[in-house]
Amino acid sequence: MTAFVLKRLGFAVVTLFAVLTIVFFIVRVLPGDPAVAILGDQANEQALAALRARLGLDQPLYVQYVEFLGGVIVGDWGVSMVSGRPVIQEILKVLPATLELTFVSLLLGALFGIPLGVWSAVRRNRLPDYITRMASLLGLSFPAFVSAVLLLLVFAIQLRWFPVISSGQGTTLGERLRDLALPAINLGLIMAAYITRVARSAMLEVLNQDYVRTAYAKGLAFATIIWRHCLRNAMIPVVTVVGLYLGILIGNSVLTEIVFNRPGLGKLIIGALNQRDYTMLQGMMVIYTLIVVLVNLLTDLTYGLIDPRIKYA
Amino acid sequence: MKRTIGATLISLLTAGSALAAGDTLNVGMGSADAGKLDPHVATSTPDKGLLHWMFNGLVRIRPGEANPAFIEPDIAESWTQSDDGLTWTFKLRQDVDCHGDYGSLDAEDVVFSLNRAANPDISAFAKDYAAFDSVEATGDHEVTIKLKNPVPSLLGLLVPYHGGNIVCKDAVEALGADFERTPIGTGPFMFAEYQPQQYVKLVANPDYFRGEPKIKEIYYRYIPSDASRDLAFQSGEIDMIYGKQEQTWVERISKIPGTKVAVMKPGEMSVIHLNMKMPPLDDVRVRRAVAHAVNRDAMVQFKGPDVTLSAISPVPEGNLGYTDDVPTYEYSIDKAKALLTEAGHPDGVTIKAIHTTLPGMLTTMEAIQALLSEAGINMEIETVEHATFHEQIRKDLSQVTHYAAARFPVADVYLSQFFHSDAIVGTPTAVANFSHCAVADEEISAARAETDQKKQLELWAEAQRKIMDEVCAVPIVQSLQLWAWKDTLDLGVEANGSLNLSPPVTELAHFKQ
Repeated sequence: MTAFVLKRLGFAVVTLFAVLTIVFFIVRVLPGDPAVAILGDQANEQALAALRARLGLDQPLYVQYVEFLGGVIVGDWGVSMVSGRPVIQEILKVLPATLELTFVSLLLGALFGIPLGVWSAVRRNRLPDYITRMASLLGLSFPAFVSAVLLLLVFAIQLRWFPVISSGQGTTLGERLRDLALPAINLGLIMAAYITRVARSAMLEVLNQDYVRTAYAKGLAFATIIWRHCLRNAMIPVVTVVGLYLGILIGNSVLTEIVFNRPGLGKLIIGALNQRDYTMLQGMMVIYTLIVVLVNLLTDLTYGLIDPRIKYA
Repeated sequence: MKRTIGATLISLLTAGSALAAGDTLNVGMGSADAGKLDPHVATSTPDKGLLHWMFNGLVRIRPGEANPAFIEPDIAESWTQSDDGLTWTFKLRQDVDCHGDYGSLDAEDVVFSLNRAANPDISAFAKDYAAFDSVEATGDHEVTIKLKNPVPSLLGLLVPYHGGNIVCKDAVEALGADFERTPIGTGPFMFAEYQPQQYVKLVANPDYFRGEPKIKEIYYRYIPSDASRDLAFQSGEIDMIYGKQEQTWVERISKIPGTKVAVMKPGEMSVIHLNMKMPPLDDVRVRRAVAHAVNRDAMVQFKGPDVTLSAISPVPEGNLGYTDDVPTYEYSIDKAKALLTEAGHPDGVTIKAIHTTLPGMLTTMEAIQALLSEAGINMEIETVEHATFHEQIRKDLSQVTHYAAARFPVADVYLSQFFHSDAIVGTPTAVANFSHCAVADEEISAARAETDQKKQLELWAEAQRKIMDEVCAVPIVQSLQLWAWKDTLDLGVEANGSLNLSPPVTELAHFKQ
């Protein structure tokens, strides 16, 4: 087990290195000049050249690259080209907000998605199945920013249950929940739609297995068959999907954060992209990559918990 | 201290749900986060708009106006100038205090501040102060500015805008690199707190020399989504919002009961610059054909008559030095076609434009495209993302460049940045001369140094006439600044304009009971 985790972490380092290299070059190949973004459109060419020199952008690419990699290894991610604040500090300030939103949405998605998927599979080709499938299809095809505005219109403007702008800094549990409610429901619904579909198809496959028929034949209660014998076996694809879709969830969280005005990585990355803030973009890609790599590792480890037959070597 | 903590806690608890508390102003700005809050560095609309409420200049334009004709004393209570216009002496007020514990403001601070604004290593506006020879404290409360050569509007460089914002020496030195996160000025509101991506909080300056502000706290909230900002205003969480430059926004937001919509100058001037070095636009007849094919009245109708003004000269109306006595090209498809035929293009021409994907600008360009096509001018628009657009047009890659800009309202600024040959893109001194226009260099340079104001105005007028005669560019419309606030908020002044593009929230602003 330890050897497995170490090996995976080793792979993670290689992945991270590859991502960093690609990101480094892509942001520099992108047209758009950070100096113009920073100094504004009234600056003349001399001022722009001076700023480029100060930011080190006049150095050959390979020099910039070596300096950047050296920095990442010793934990120095540089300072934001736009705000002048350290990148790592900027990211760590808002990272908890994004993680909180993502995990609560994931939880909501699982809480609704798994039972609905199971129910839909058990009632296959009957009304509950049709309704669930239609609803999940709707959830999958609805853009996150549209559902977000609809939720705001209903719950913040009409009913006035929640604020339009999440303060993002509530201190009591009640406040935090109030801030989180609409954004988490928005993302949770999308996640629930994904999970429902996967849970349904995994469950259908398990329901057709011989051992399930045997269980019926020996007179086991329906609930025992479903929850004890089928669900656990159907969980592996669901966990895989949850792990994979976490990336999509983080992507959707960008839009959700903007519409609900929550602090988070989403607002940070939009600003960094618009202003060609190379250092900030690089830092954010490191964080995103780390999250995806870690989630994949956790997913693999979870398989062992669900299915004791799986061995790590 | 305890009270401050208590007040902060209460505001935290009620943040978001607070409905227009009597002395707290919640402002919704359309950006994701604060940039640099050092007034000598900040160039973006959201940053300048916030700093507007925190700083003073030696002089100021009367709050609510954007025209230099309204210049009045601010930190300086009076001033004199030598006959040659090269030496200016300012007598300062003695009751001006820096925010926090940074003491009272004297001549040393002003000297430090202006030298800082002129320092290219620190300031983004250093080139505006290139004519400054020396700034000296000639008394505890007296400052003398000596110029190498006369400038078009010295007082204009000393209003609280860009480099004219006066910073406190002790604060800048004590805070070092932190100054751009904790700006210290002398204005009615003081920096109190910054929450990344959420807000900057300002509090009233109790020692403000014009009297303590009636508004006690300002939350300047960063809300990048237009829809969310409007909804937050509608729900009452926000008292004042930054608007979208669209007629439909004005119509929609004015339907919310108790809303005041403000349409302020300076206008952001939309101009299409025609590259005079690239055929077929190197032929003045083709450029005149373009000018005849643009129906400016239709453009004003299209952009919204409440939010735009027609543009006649390449300098916006209301600028010092503006004239409408320039060659104009009335809308006439026949004349446009005749000019094209005369230039040897009886079947029309094709011109290319690199353009940003920013929706507000793109719709304008598409409307122009439709108008031009009627005269047989086929304008192909290649759209690129906004930062890419800025880079490519500066590399001289576009035949037609649509540019929208608001500048300090003195004719010299537009003329120098867009129409003087020094500013031609692709050169070391480049700014934003996309057309390669060089027809009025003599007048623009002479006007800069002219001390006789009447002659100066005439030189600027002549420059505008030459530019329009040669059609370096075709002025389209001026889009005004849009804001809305609750009508319970009384700013105490009429908001007709604002150089810093945010409404004048001063010591006079208050909520009506």
